[in-house]
Amino acid sequence: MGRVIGIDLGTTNSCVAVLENGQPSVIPNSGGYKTTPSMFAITQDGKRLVGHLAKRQAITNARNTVFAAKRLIGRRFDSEEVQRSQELCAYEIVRGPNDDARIQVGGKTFTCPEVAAFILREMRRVAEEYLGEPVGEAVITVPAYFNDAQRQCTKDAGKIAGLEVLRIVNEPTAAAMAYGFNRSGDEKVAVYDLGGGTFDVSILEMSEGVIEVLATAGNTFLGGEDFDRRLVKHLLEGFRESEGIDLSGDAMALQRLKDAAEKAKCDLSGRERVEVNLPFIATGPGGPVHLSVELTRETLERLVDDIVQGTLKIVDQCMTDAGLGREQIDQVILVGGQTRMPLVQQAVAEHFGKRPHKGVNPDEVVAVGAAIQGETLVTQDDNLLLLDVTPLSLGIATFGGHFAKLIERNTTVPVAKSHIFTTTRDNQSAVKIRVLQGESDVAQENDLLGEFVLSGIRPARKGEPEIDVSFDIDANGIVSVSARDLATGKEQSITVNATGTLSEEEIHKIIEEQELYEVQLKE
Amino acid sequence: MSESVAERIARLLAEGLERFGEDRIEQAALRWREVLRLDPGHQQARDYLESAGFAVAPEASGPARALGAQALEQAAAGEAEEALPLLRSAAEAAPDDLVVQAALELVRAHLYAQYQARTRHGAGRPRVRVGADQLLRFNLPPDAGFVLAMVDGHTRVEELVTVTGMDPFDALHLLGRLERAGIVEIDP
Repeated sequence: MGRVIGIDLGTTNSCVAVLENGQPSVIPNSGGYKTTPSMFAITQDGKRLVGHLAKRQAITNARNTVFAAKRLIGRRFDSEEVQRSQELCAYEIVRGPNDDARIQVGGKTFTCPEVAAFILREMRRVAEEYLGEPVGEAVITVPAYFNDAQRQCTKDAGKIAGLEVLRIVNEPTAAAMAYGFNRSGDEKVAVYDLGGGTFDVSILEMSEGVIEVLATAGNTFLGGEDFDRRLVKHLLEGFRESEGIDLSGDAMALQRLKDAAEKAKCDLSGRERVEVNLPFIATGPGGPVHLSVELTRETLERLVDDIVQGTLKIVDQCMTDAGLGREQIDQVILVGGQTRMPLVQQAVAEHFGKRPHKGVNPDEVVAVGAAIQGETLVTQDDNLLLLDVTPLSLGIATFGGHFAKLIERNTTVPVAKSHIFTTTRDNQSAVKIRVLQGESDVAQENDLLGEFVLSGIRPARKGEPEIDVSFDIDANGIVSVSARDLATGKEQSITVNATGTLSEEEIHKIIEEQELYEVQLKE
Repeated sequence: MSESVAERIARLLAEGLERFGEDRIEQAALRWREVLRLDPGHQQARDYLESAGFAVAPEASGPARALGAQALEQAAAGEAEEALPLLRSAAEAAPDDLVVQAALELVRAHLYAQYQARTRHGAGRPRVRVGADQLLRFNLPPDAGFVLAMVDGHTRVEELVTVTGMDPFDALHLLGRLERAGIVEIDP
C-alpha cells in the first residue's frame, strides 16, 4: 500500500506531511524549508518556476508570477474576490469560457485548478524525494468557508497533479486533529489562523475523538503580507526622507526591500531589534547609496496594530455564530506563520483570557492534521471520527427570486436533506432547479453552484405536482442534487458542476500538456 | 591588430577558399563573414564574398566604427571584459551599424562562453566572501547589488540567473564582476 500524504495548500505557503511509524513528519523541500511558497511563474525564456524560485523573482517578473491563486479558485470572474485580486495582482486575471476566473501568464491562459496543480505537484515531488517512493494519494486541506465549487476545483487540481484526493478537509479541522492527536477529553477549541494572505477563525468542539466545527469566519484579504507591505512602506518612506531617493518605482530595489522586510518581521518575533542592511540599493550624486536602518519590535507593532485588532472583531463574529462566550473556550490554537508574532499572541491571549496553546507548530499543524486524516482513512481507524460542517447554507432559487435554504450553514456533513417543491403554472411540464450556496434571502446574491432541468412532469394544475428535491453533501463538502417527480417517479440527479470545475477531458488535456512540457524541458 | 587575430584571419581566408574550391559555397561564406566580423574593413574577404554572389554590407565609418575596432583589438588581446563597455557605447551610438552590432555580439558570445565555463555551466553555487563592513568599501551599481543580494550560498548560478529576471548575459556579467572583485566565489 502506498503512502498517503497530507497537503496544506495555502494561499501563501504550502506544506506536506506524512505519518512515519505512527508519528507525523513534516517533509522539508530540497532547500531544507518545511514550507514552500504557493507561487508559480513563467520566466522570459518560458521556464516554469514553482515555490522559492518563483518567489525570489516575484517583483522583477511580477506580470508573470502568480501568487495567492487560491483566492481565485472556483470563483466567478465577476465575484468581489476576483475583482479585488485584479486590483492587487500584477498578473492578468481573465474571464474563462465558464465565467470562471483564469490566469494569463507567459502568453498562456491557465485555469485556477491548473495553477494549484503546479503547487500540488511540487509538494508531491518533495514527498517522493523524501520517501524514495512514488506517492499517489493525498488528503488536501481547504478553508472551512470554501464552497462546493472551490472544493471541486481543489479536487481537480489534485487529479491534474497525479494525486487521488482521498478527502478534502477543512483547515481548522486538520489543525484540531493535529492538536487532538493521541489526546482525549471534551474541549471547545478556537483556531485562530493568520497566514500569509488570509485570516480564518473557527470554533470547534472536540469530544472523545470526535471533532465538530461549530462556526467559522474570516477575511480572505488579510494576512502576513499586509504586515510586510506596511514594513516596506515604512522603509521606503524612511529612505526617501534620509536620502531623498524614491525607490518605489525600482523593481530590483522593491524585491530586495520585500525580502528584507519579511525577514526582519520574522526576526522581530524573537528579538527586540534588528538591522536592515541593503547595500548598493541605489546610486546618488556621490556614488552608491546603502539602506541601513534599525527596526524595533515596537515600531513593527505600531505599524500593524490595527490589523491585529481587526482580526479580533472577526473572532467575536465567529463566537456569536457559534453561540458561545469567550469564557467557554478551553483552548486556543494558533495556526499560520504570522501567529509567531508576539503582538498577535498577546492580543489573542488577552481577548480569550487564556494563553494560546504552544504545543503545535503554526506553520505545519494543518499539514500534520491532513496526514493524520490520510492515515485514518487508509487504515480505517475509527478512533478518530471526523465530523465537519458545511460553511454555507445550501438551497435553491424559488419563485420571486427568493432563496430557500434546505441545509443551514454549520450543519454537520455528510448530510442529506430533501424538500417537496411544486409547479407555478398550470400544465407546467418542466422545472429548472437552480442550486445556490450562501446566506442571502435573495437568490442572485448567493453563489450559483449549478442548475438542471427536470422535465416530463405530468400535466396538472399549478401546485399539484410534487417534486422531491434531495441534496447531499459528502464528507468532502461536495454537493450532489437529485430531483424526483413523486407522481411519475421520474428522477434526475446531478453532481453539481460549479464554476471553474473541469471536465475529465479538460483534465486529461492539461495533464498531457504538462507532460509534454516536462519532456521538452528534459530535451 | 595582434598577430593571433591576423593568423586567424589568414586561416579563415584559406579555409574559405578551400571550401569554395570544393563547391561548398555556404561554408566558404561563413568563414569570410567571420573574417569581416574580426576585421570589418577586410577588403579581400569582401571581394571573395561578392565574387561568390553574396551581398556585403557597405563598410561603415565614423566614430562608432572606430570605437568598435578599438574594442575588437582589446578583445583580441584578451581583454574582452574591458572591450565590452566600449562596444556597448559604439553599438548605442550606431544602432543600425550591423558590423558594430555583430562585433558586440561576438564579444558577448566569447564572454558568455567564459562565464559558463567559470560557473561550470550554471551548476556552481556562488557565495559571499566578504563581510558586510568590508562590502561597503566597494563601488557597485544597484544592479550588481541586486545580483549580490540573490547570492545565498545555496542557489546555483543557473537558478540565480533565472530569479534575477535579467538577461542571462547581464546577470552572469555582473556575477563575474563580483567574482573578479573578490566579493563572491563560486563553489563547485
